[in-house]
Amino acid sequence: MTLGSHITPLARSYIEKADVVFTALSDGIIELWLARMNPNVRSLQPLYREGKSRGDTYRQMIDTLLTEVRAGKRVCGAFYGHPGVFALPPHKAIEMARAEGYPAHMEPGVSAEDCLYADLGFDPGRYGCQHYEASQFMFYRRRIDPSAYLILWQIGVAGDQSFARFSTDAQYRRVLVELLARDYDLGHEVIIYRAATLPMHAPRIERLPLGKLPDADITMHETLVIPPARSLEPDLQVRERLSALDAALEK
Amino acid sequence: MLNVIDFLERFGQDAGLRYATGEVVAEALQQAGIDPAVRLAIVSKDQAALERLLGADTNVCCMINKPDDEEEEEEDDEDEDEDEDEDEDDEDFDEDDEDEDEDEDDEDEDEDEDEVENVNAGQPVTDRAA
Repeated sequence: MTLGSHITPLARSYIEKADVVFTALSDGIIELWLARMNPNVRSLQPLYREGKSRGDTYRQMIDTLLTEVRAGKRVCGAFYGHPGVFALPPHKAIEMARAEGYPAHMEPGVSAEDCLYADLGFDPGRYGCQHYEASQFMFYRRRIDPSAYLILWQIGVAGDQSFARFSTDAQYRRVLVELLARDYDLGHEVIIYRAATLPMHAPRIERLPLGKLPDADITMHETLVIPPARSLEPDLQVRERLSALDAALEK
Repeated sequence: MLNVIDFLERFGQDAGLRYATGEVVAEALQQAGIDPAVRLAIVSKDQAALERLLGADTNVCCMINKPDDEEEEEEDDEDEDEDEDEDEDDEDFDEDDEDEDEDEDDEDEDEDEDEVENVNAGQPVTDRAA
């Protein structure tokens, strides 16, 4: 989501008309932008602290939003990108508000995923596209399809089991690369991507071999994009069955 | 300083500016009467300098996802079934958190302290951007 470019008219209207706006944004400058839209914009950033579980931070974010809802205020939570994509507190806050009888809903936004397709110039419908949070991808057994795109989010904290770090280092990414090497050649080209959040910036698009990923400069803002490594494999059995159905229809 | 935010908004909204050359952006900044130091920060794409000049918060964490949440919910459901717990499940998140603390051997004593933290007590963003 880029300042100025990616806010819907309806989302802006909710921000402007709210009694209080709580923000979780990508940049301090974007906080200042929202503060121009409503005199009562409050940042949720003070709830983050390195070394503190993000589970606690997110629970406090929800408590903060719900406290004002229960006080009878019109509350807007402004989360950068799409508030429902790789974002836990907005879903939980809406769910809890509704359970308590308050009307609540989510407005879609322009996420880093949307920017990614435009900036990298690929259509997720062409080969298919798999999305995982990087740590979750490491913690659980997955069956990935190397003939489709694979996108790993929050790559900068890949492998953090404490959920309390703001970054993990090359050793953690080496574990990730070993895991990926089950399906991809180490020379396979991957892309480190970061959407532009300020209009003066271009997106970061850095192509490198998978084997070089551990030593790359990666922060909490970056996403890993792995293009397909294999051709699509026709399923002849399914096609035969479909052809039989087609033939039956023609009779 | 508020002019700068207006300019950045226009920068992001204007098809003639968003992907324009540095010269065009510099010209637009000058026409908008933006302070020379701010102009330099924008044209040189120096975010740190711009944040400093605007008084923006630089201690920003942009992660709003925690990957294990769904798994914890499933575990909770199983636990509830096994224990025949009489509690209503309308406070999933708090229950998740307690279970997580037990599982991960976290510092439970921090929880009360954390409860005291409340952004309502913090100052509005507008007060910072003086």
